[in-house]
Amino acid sequence: MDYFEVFGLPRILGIDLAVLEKTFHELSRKYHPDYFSTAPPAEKTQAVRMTALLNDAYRTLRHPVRRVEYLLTLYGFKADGSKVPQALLTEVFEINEQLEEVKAGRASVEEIDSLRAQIKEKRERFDAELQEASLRWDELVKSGASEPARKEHLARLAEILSESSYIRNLERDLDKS
Amino acid sequence: MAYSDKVIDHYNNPRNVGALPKEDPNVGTGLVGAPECGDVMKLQIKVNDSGVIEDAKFKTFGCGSAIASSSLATEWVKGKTLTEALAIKNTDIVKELSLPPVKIHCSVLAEDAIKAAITDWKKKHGPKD
Repeated sequence: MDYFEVFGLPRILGIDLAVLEKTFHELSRKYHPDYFSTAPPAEKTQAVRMTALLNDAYRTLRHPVRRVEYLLTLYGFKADGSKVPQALLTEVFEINEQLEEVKAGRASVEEIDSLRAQIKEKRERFDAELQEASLRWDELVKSGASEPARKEHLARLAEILSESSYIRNLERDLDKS
Repeated sequence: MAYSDKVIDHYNNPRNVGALPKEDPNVGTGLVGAPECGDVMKLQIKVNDSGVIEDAKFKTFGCGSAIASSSLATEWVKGKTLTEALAIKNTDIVKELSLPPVKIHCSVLAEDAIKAAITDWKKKHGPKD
């Protein structure tokens, strides 16, 4: 059973978080090990397994990036670094050099703020791109698009994830320093 | 997970850290990255008139294994011809540094960086027959 099936959802990316949470609570109650204390061992084990699966599924699906990552793994797609444009790599390298200055305590408050703003702006652009591509995926699924068309779009989603992962890593790195 | 002594040695005393002038026609620059961990690696080679790599520099933002892999790569390419340098395999780096399976991608990155640097140099020198 995949994470979408756990929640009775088709493999789409536009998920209503309020509905997801509500279903999560309902299913959590349904499979709660307390209700199975007197059940036969096989049923008890099954309930524990369902609870674990449900928790993993919820954690993954409620997060817009992890949701896409998961969808890609279902189709055997993986974020591939080799396709990342050189311009982005150069930019990431330069930001890393500035980050190094921050970590060494050689950057002024203004420089740190400007670096943070630069990274945030890039990340928000990627978020918007990912959101748009996620909506497009849902349209393809709902309109019953052909297998090649879907595959092509999954590759595009993988590309956006690869590129944005550098920026998300930088942001995390900056928050730590 | 513990790093091997060789990784620690390269990490603490990285060889050939720095940069070569990117615009120099004798310099080839390779810039590669791994999205899963956000590592970026720059490796540069300087090739002399007889086609031998006489100098190499690197700068890597990443984990200890990525730094050690690129440090080792610069050591190995120095003094080699381009053909010899192209023959360096990531598995050689894995063996030399005793990298665990989860760090194999760091060695792949280093091999890719060598190839990218050579490709860049070749681009500057036009197609050869």
